[in-house]
Amino acid sequence: MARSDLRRRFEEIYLAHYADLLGYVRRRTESPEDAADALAETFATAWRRIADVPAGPSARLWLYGVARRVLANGRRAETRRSALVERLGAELGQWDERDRKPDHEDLDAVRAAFLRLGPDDREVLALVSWEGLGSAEIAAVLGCSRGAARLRLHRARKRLAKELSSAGVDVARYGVRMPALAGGEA
Amino acid sequence: MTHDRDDLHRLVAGIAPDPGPGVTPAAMELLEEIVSGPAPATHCPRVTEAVAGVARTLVRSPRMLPVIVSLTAVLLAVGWLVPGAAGLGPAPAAAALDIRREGDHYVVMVRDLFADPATYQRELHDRGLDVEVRLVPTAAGSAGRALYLDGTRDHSAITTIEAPGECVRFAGCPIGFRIPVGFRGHATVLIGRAARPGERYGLLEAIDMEGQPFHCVDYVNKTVAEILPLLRERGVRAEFTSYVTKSTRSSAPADWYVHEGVMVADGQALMLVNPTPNPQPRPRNAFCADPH
Repeated sequence: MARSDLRRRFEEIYLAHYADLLGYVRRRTESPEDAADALAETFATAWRRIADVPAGPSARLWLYGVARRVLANGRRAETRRSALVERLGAELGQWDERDRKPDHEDLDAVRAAFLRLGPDDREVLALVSWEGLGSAEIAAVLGCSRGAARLRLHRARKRLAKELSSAGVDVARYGVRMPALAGGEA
Repeated sequence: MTHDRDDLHRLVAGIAPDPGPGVTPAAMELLEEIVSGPAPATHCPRVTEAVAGVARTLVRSPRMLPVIVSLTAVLLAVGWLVPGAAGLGPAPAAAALDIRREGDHYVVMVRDLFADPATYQRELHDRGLDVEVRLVPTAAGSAGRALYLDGTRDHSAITTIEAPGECVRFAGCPIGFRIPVGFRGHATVLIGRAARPGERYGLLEAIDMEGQPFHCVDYVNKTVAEILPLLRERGVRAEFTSYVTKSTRSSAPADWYVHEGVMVADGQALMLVNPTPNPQPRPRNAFCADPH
């Protein structure tokens, strides 16, 4: 494939999935700077490995998988942020300030229960509820079989239910009040 | 303790942190920065190193960044290399470059923009200069502009000669360059040539940059309905992208807001639109000395 074709393909992937990837890394990082770092590194990896990026909607799952590894590795000490990535981080920081909504007090208990879970449990639950993925898609992101993904999800749900129950959260009551945000079938 | 699993997922969805602003101007620049990084295809590593080195050096200056990003993108967007053996041939009858010696520098001006790039290179080689010359498809307004990479960390070996008059471009408006007579490094000089009809630019330029259709037009945060006639008047066909539709389309909802635009080929623009206005619009006078 000619370089201009590779570039075009990358542009399409980038524009199609940037917003989703931004959401993914923002939801899993502490600071806008870390989100900008992870985002830049994920897409830089995608560019270097453009031939490996699957076509169609699977590209998003592939990118999530890369972002997951980037976040797991943490920021490498020797990589200095480019001025642009600094600026991107600052832009995200401004967005945070602009868009900060008062915390929904009712959900504090849910948030606390969620945070008491292990990182693996949180990740599968988040992939369903935040990214709207089903178990086959989760398997693609985590690099495991679909059966393993189902099992991990099942166990994570069980542990979350237990945490919520011990915190006295009535799930059914929230259930009817919360808008249906989750898209995927689990 | 039997919870409906959908209820559980709705609860978790309820604590989802905000996903962020989607594609912003900085995101568009990041795209350019990434594709200007090491390319996935096999190619001359020397060029890659030069690009990476210069990019690393120059990104320290935030003001220069958009240019440099574009400049390096240009380098890798060009799909061919000037043949290296051209320097052995005889000097052409009519010189493509005007090369004069001033003290310890050569002053190089482009005389014939439509010459074979090998001709430029040969003329430079004849003076012992290892300078690779490439032509890059650009908007007609940028034809003849020279950009360069000289392989030095501080980009100091070669300097540009600016076009007379006021220059509002980030990259400056070079029309020629000065090379030290004793320069023994390898440099790459990019010269803009007018793109052929339908040919994609090697350098994407903001739609409101000097010489572009929306120069000094107040278009950011106007609605699609408002800018469509402005585009039509100027003979510009536009495609639209947004972080909601997540793809490039030939139309966009009339009440969405325009955040940004770039020219991708003669008469063709790519506009970034979204349902809400751009919260951080570029200052109106970024490219326009006299906004009206």
